[in-house]
Amino acid sequence: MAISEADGTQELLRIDRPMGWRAAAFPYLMFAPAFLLIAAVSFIPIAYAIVQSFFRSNTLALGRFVGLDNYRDFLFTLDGVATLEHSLIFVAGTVLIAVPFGFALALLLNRPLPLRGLLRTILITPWLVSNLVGALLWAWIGNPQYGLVPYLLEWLGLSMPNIITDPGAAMASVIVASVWASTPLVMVFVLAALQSVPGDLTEAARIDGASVWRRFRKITLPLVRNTTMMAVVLTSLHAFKSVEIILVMTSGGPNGATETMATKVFHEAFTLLRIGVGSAGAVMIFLLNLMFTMAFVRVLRTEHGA
Amino acid sequence: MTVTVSLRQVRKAFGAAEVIHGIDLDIAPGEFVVLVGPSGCGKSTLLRMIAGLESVSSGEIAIDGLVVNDIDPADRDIAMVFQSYALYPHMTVRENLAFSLDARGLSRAAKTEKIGQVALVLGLETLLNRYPRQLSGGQRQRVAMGRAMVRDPRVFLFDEPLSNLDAKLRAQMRLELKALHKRLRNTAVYVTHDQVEAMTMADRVVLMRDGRIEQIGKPLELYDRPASAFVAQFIGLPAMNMVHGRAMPRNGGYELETAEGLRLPLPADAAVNEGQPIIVGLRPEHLTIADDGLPCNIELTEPLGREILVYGTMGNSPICIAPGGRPAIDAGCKVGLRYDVQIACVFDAASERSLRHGH
Amino acid sequence: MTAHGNRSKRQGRKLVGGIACVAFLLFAVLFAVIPILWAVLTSLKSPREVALYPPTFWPQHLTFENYAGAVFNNPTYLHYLFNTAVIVIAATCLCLICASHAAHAVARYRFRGSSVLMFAMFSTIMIPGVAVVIPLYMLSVAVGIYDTVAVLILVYGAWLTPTLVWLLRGFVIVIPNELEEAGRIDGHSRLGVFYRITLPLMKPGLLAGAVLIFANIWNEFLLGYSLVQSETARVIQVGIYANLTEVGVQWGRLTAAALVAMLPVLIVYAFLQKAFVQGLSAGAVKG
Repeated sequence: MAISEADGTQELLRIDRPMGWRAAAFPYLMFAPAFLLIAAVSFIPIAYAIVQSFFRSNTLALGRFVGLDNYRDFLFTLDGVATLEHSLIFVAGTVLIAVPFGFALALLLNRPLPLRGLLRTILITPWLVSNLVGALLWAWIGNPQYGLVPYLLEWLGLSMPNIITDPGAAMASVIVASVWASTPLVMVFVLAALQSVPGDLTEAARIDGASVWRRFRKITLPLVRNTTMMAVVLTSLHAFKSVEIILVMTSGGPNGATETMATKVFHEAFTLLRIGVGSAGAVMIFLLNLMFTMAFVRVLRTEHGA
Repeated sequence: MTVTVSLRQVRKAFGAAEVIHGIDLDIAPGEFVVLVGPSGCGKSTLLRMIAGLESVSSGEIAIDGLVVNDIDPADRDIAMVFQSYALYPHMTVRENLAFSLDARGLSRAAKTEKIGQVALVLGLETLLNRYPRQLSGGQRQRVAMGRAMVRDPRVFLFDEPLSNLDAKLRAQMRLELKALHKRLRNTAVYVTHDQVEAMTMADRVVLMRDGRIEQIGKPLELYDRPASAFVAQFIGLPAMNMVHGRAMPRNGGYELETAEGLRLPLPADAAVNEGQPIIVGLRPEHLTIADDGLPCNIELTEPLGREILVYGTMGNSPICIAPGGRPAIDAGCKVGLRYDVQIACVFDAASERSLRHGH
Repeated sequence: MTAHGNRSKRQGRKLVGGIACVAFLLFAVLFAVIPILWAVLTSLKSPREVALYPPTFWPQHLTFENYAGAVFNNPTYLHYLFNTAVIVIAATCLCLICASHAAHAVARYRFRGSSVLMFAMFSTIMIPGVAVVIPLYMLSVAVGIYDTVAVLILVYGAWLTPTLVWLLRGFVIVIPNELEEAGRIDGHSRLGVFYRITLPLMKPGLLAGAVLIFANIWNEFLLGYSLVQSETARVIQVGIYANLTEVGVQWGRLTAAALVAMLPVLIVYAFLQKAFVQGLSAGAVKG
């Protein structure tokens, strides 16, 4: 480690051997409250959930050991694989629409438009609305009997696909609601990244004769790639564990067509009180999350290195 | 109250790399000691160890006779002025000054009195309710000083406090600091890379290089009798001229013979051997221009106003001469150089140490 | 092709592009706003009018009876609001306190095991709520705080702490180390320096964090549903959901209740918007 000399550079992390035990203990003590809190609320429960996924009982007690039965049941007997499919469709649909949409909005908002502040506030509003309320709003506006959307579609000469009976339409409707709720986050993230791109870079490129598209591709895009990818990950994780939208709008129907892993876990645990199976599903969701995030981190790291 | 500061065999290592190698230093009460040296020589690290912001790998640091190695900075009763002043941006000047007094639990009246005194001395009375961002560089520097002064500490520590100021302000603040120290008479350790600050402000100068002390002494001692070529070239502006060659016997004594055959007489107390590669050091003001003497081709002159600096080459060595006054010399002239043998410096070319007994 | 012709061609293209942008923005705005607007209009209609088909746009009969019935004259609803407010404020304080201390430790010190602890802490963000509700339920029963406001305060406080440590760390790092060193030399303890110097200078980060926490907790449903059963400690989102499933659907009242539940977050965001965007960009871009 170089000596930090008074030449203007600032070393922010000093590795000095502290004086006395008090100094050595200080960072640990500062870190402790947060860590203990998280241990109590996250580590211990997830560990318990993992344990519980191997047991089965009729009550809340742990019950008897069943090995991988809960997992098998969740996936095969209880149609868990189908829910995984639905989860993937739901997540993919949300991400594939919300991310480009939010990205485009961020690009537009990055320019000096009139009323830009107002626009940004309006476009952020879906994010400020809770998942539950958002689901409610969409359930209402899409309501086959009284809703605005069916009426407008009829007025346009189209017929409203029946959300109650048509599985495709049901999935589409929850995806629309999910996109509505997820786009603002993408927009905010990308906008923040865009605004941190130094103006002189694009100006220099412009003087060098690069077209708008080329400027975008070679300069803007690489710099915002990281943040965009982070937005993609956050949106995916959020969609994967989303429960409220489907619960409120379709309740998993028709016939389980919109039942995702998350909602299935919810049903198993709370409605059917099959806690072991629910835990197994939950653990699987957690593992999928972990794998996805680690894969993402690895991709990010290799890109950085390359 | 003024106290001694002592360093005994102080070493500092970061991991496996030792950066300070066995420093011994005794600072007398009320003394203003300047640690000076090039970037990376360890002077800031040493200062921070005295402050307690870096730990001591081995050796002892004592303040007022008490070893402070394991004592928290807060309990050492020292004050430090940082290069960037480290003024608390969210507090007014008054609150900045009061901050350290808060830790000592003084009564409100006592605090106000102390702050008032310091503000008066430093000319800060009108600025007490301003925030650091509203002050100029010089004003901030004074607040940083004030913050140190208000506590009446046992030792003052300065970490290049004038580096962020422009040249004119720096010169002015040098005078103010020196005057202040004359008044307060606290023990002070001052770190700088600027040898002018060292020369003008120090009671004693500690010149450091690569984690070791090259020379300690009064400023003029380092100037007149440098212990090594490094000291000779670091202290003094423009730098001392260095002429390389071998020692050759002549007329009962020795003289330096350069590769081109020029001969420079050496002072009598130079401990040289025949054939030894040596360096002769001559300060620009020690050279006089005469009709005869060592031949020198003038290449450049720098008119500074009160004097003219003359640059040329003697043999193959670049030479700078400060003849005093404004002699009519132009580039392209050929002149002769003479010097007083008694004030010339002689160094061994390999070890760079001074070879004169008197040094 | 004359130069003039080229220019007008370019201008034409620009115009088309401009119109496309405007259209796109218009679509986005409508998409964002219409569900909410429609709900607002619905909430101002009488129950009879709500049930009309084809639906009317502007209420024929502007009425506030839904708001009166669902919100203002409804002590249960108001109680839910109160609960949520208490929980949010307490959890925000808990989270900010814990996270700021931890962020300082992580930003300034490289202590043994810090990277492992950090990784473990951040990985909890990936735990889906669904996974931990049951264990948390059982834990809270065991400790005796099930079905109380306290359990939600603790859980919500802990849930967002990792995100906040990550956010606040960025804010601590930009405070020059020298300020804290000066504070220590001036005679204050490390903790004293943290409270007097670091924390005040972290204010923008704390504000941004507060907005984030507020919005997340106020809008949270799953944990609120699982850890609290009775109406005494229930939070607002769960209250609305309960209304939906228990009482049957009166859309006029439901929309009124939902919209009022939205307001606090909107207000908090409106006030702290600037700090929030600043904080997010500092954190998001630094990664």
